[in-house]
Amino acid sequence: MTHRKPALLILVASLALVPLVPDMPAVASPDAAVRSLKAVETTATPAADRPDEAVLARPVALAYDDGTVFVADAQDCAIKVFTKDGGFVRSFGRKGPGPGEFSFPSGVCVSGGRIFVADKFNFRVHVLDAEGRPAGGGGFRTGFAPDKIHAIGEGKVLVTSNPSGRPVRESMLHLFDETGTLLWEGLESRAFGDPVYDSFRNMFLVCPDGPDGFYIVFRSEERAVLHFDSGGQALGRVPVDDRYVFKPVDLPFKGPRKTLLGFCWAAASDAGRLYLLEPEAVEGRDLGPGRRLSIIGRDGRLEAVIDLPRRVHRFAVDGRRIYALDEEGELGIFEVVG
Amino acid sequence: MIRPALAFLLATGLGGPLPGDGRARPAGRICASLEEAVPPGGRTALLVFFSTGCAICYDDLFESRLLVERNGWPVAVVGVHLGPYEELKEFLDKYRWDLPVVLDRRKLLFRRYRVTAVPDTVLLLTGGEIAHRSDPYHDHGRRREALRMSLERIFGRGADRQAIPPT
Repeated sequence: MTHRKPALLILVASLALVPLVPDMPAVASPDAAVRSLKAVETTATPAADRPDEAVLARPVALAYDDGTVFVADAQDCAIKVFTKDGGFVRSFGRKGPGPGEFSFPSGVCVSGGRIFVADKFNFRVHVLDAEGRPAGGGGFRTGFAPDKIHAIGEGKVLVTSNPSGRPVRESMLHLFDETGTLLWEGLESRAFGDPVYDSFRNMFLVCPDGPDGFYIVFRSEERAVLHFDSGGQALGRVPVDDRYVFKPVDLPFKGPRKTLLGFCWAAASDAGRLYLLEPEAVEGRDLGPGRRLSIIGRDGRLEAVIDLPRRVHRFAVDGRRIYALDEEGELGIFEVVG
Repeated sequence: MIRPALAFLLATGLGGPLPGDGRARPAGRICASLEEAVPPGGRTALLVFFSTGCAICYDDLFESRLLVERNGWPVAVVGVHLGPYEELKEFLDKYRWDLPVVLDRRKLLFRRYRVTAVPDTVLLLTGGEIAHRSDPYHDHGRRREALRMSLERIFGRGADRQAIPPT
C-alpha cells in the first residue's frame, strides 16, 4: 500500500503532536445546565414492506443531503437511496470493479450534487450522479483502501483509511479535490506494540464543520476533539466536558489485561454542534452502540443529551431529525422532542 | 467494537430476487425459511451464519459439515446467508455445496438468534432450544473445539476420536 505524502503537506495531526496544539478556552462550567431531550420514531415504511432492493443487508455508512438519505450497503455492494421520510427511492451498484460497481462500499457523501463512494476493496473513490451513473470521470484511485468519506466544503472530500497494522506511522486522513488530486494527508496512526489494541486506539470519527473544516473524534481514550480547517491545518484541541463519561472495558485479548476507555461510538455534526453517541458496555467485555446522544458545543461544553428510542450504529443530524442505522441494520428516522 | 473487527471479512454481492416477497422463489438447496430447510420436529440443526466473501466463514461452514459428517452425528447443517440470491447461488455452485442454505434477506434468523456478525454458529435441538453457540471472541480453532465438545455432550464421542483414549 502506498500513501502519497508530499513533503510540504505533512501537517501531522498525530496525537504525539496534539499537546502542541493549544487547547481551546473554556470547558464547561460544571454548573451549566444540561438539557435532557428525547427522540421519537417517525412513521417510516416498515422494513418488511420494502422491496428486496431496499433491504439493508449490511449498512455501514449513511449520509444526508437536501432531503435525501444515502446508505452504503457493503453486503449488497450498493448505495440505497431514501427520502427524508424513509421512502425508498432507488438502489444502484453491484459487485465488481467496473463503472457503477463496488467492492465493499464503506462510506458515502454528497458534494455538489454528486455522490462520492469510498469503494474500499477497489481502492478508489467512485463518483456518481444522482441517478447512480458514473460522473466526473467516475472518480479516482486512492492508493489505499478508503474507509469513510466526507464532503468538506465545495470541491473537497476527506477520505479516511485504516492503518495496516505494521509498526509504522501511516496517515489516516487524506484530503482530495474532486479530480483526485491529493491536497493534504495527516493524522498519523500510533503503535503500542499490540496490533489489536492499536486498531482500537486508532479508530476515529470525522465530523465535517460545513465549509470551514472538520473535527476528529477518537473513539476511545481521548476526551477531546481535534479541530482542523478545510485545508488540513490544525486549529485546536477542544477538551470535552467531563460530564460526558468514558465507558471502560477490559479487552479480552492475550497477554496483560488492557482496559480501553470507550469514548464515542459514532459522531455527526449539525449547525456548529457535535453529536456524540455514547458507547454501551456489552456483556462486560466489549463496547457496542448506545442510545444516548450528547450535544457538544464548539467550546466542548455538554449542552444536552438526547435519549434515542433504540441503539444506533451510525447517524446523521438535520435540525431536529436524526437519521440512523440501528443495531439491526435498519434505517431509523427520529424526531427530537422536548 | 470488537465484534465488528472480528467480522471484518464480510462478503459483498449482487442484487437479486428474494424468496417470500411474491416473486421468484429459489428452489432446491436454497430455502426461504428454517422450517423449509429442517422440518419442525426433525433433526438437531446446526445453523452456520456466513457470508460468501468471508474466508473465516468459509472455514466455519465447511469444517462444521466435515465435523458432523465425519462423526456421523444426526445433525442437519444449515447455512444462513443474508446477501443477494445470485451471490449465494454462485457460491453454492462454485463449491458444490448441496446442503440447505436459508436465504435470510429479511434477517428473520439473524434477529431471532441475535446474530450481529458473521461467522456465527448456533446449535438447535429439535425443540428449538439453543444447545450451543459460538463465541465470537474466540479464534477459529477454539470455536471449532467448543462446537465439538457440545456435540459430544449430546451425541457422545465422535468416530474420529474414538481411537483416542479418554483423558
